[in-house]
Amino acid sequence: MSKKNIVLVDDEADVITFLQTVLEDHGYATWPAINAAEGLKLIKEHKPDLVCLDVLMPEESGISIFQKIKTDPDFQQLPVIILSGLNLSQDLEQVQFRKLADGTILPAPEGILEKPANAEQFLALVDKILG
Amino acid sequence: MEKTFPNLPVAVRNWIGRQLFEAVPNNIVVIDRDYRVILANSNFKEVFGKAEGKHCYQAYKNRSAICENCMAAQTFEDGKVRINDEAGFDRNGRPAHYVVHIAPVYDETGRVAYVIEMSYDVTENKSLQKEYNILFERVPCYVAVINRNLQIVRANEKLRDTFGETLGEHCYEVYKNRSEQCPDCPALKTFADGKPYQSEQVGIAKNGEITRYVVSTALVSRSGQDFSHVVEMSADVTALHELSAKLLQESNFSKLLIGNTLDAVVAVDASGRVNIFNRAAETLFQVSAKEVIGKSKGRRFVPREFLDLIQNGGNSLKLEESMVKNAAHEEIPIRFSGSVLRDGDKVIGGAGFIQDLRERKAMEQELLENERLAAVGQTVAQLAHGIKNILTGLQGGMYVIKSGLKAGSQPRIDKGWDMLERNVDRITVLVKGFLSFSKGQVPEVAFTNPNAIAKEVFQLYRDTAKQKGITVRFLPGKALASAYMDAEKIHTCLANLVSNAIDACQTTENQDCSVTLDVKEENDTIIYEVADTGCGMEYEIKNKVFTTFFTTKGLGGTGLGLMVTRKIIQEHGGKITVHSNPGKGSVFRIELPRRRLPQPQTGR
Repeated sequence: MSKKNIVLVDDEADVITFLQTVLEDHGYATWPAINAAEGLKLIKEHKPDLVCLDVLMPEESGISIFQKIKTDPDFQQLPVIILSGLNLSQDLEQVQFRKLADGTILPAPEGILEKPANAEQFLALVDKILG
Repeated sequence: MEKTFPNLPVAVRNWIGRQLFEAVPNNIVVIDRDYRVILANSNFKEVFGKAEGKHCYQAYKNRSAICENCMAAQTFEDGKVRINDEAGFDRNGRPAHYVVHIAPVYDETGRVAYVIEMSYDVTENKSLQKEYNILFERVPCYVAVINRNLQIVRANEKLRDTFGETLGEHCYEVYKNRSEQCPDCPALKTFADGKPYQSEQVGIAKNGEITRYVVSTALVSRSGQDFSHVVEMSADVTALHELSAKLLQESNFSKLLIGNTLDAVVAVDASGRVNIFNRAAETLFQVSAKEVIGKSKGRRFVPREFLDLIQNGGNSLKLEESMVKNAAHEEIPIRFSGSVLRDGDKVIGGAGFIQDLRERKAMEQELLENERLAAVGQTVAQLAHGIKNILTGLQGGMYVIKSGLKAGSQPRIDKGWDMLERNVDRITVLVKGFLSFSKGQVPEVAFTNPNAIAKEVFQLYRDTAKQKGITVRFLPGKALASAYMDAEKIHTCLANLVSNAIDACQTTENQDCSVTLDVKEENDTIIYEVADTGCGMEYEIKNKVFTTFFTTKGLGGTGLGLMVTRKIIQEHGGKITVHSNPGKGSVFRIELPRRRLPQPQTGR
């Protein structure tokens, strides 16, 4: 069985290192990106099984990447985990970040996790989505 | 003539007979009963031209027929001597006034066969009189001649225009619409003692307007003998009164304004002595105006610079912040605005407006406090977010170490250890900055040399900067006196600025980027300048640098540095400003006026 691919997008190197170590220790292959542009490129190149997005990043936010994925016919089935220090779960459930300019409301992300999250929580969420 | 002067010598008689006729300064003609001139002397001919053979009316008046009421005709009838005032034309056609004496000459039958007309020219007198009349009429004041009954016998044009036709009326009726004479009548006084009097009166013009005038009275003689009349000359001072009333009103208004303004107003004369000291000034300085005006020198109340300005003939002075002392020797922060007063070119003193800043200072303090509290709230939110990231980093570090231990991988263990260290450092920096901002304490000042603090900061950063290829220069101030400062806090400020400058150098493409730490003194103000040739700042960024948690350094900065710096500088009574050129560099300037530095706390 080939390894499942996960793209990680976070502007903090330490977070990337953490997530990478957790996932690789548990048999996943990871593609780290430190900004949105790089992340989108990796998604297109590697057609991953899961994308893990930070929200607050300098150039383009994780919400923006999420919207791009979910509106792209090629990728709208790609599961997304949103991982952020912001208290986002409620907002995301209340559609604020899922509502597009044309009024379309996107489905909720497959996973939402608030920082600080420990390795077990994160791994459990990933396993649940990909299992 | 022989009969009249029987004893005269012949020569005299001959002279009288012939030459007197020519020598008298009068015009003489002899006219026969046909009114024809049979003889005229040369004076006559000089005025009226050649006359012999002409009719008198032709000669005098260029008429073609005898004059009505001809005096000569009457004298031909009754032989009486007559004197008359006539007007005619001289030989050039100009009007001539002359007085004519007409005397009869009888023939043997006792009939008046001739008349002799002797006239003298009064043209000049007449024109004088005319000028006098014009003067009387046109002089721009009211002129009236009144008799002892106070009736107006003559009034000039302006008087008639203003008060109406007046002849025969009593002056008090004309001027004041009164039915009886005025109690203070100057004309009556003049009639009584012959001296001129002057007084100010209020009258009512024919249009009903109140008219004020100053009247002067003088005795005149109309008949040439007794002083039967008084001439009243009155100058209209209504406009003057209106003007002075307006001035009075304005002066009252200024007095009211000065008296009631919330700013203290202190004015001094050219010698620096106080001459205005308003109520607000009394409150501010806790002395009464009575104790001060005309007695005290202004230097107790207005800044020395202002007195110098008055001495040197300057114009105005504005001090955004200055200090004065009240009677209890308490220092009061004030704002001062003063102008030098001049009369023409001459400096006559100066007036200063002194605004008590204590209340505003307190409000500013309160505002600062509120800003700080708001900032604290904001920090808590930001801090929580920051800490979440840091915690993730810490958890990550622990996990990576654990994972490294499990796999027996030293590089992985080291990586995890680095993550732990880095994130512990981050949290330390964040908490330190937050604490130093939230502490609202009074600076703990000690007598410190301004150069010494800067030198320490310079030594702290010189080497690390050098490793990054950045030169840090230190320009200590010459002969700088020590001052009361919180050395540790000023150190924090300078360290913040220098480390920012080094960061700015690192984010620029400029090679040979340098940072200069300059210490100097200007106008009793200690100045620190930190200049870099780094990346500089856009306008928007420049406007935000001193406000809450602004950072361009991502997670590398807390956004607290400049805010803390500004707070420390403000606590030292100073200010911090920034000038920046994008791509060229920035200059941060700290100004610490010596007289505003905090005083050491005593008795603690």
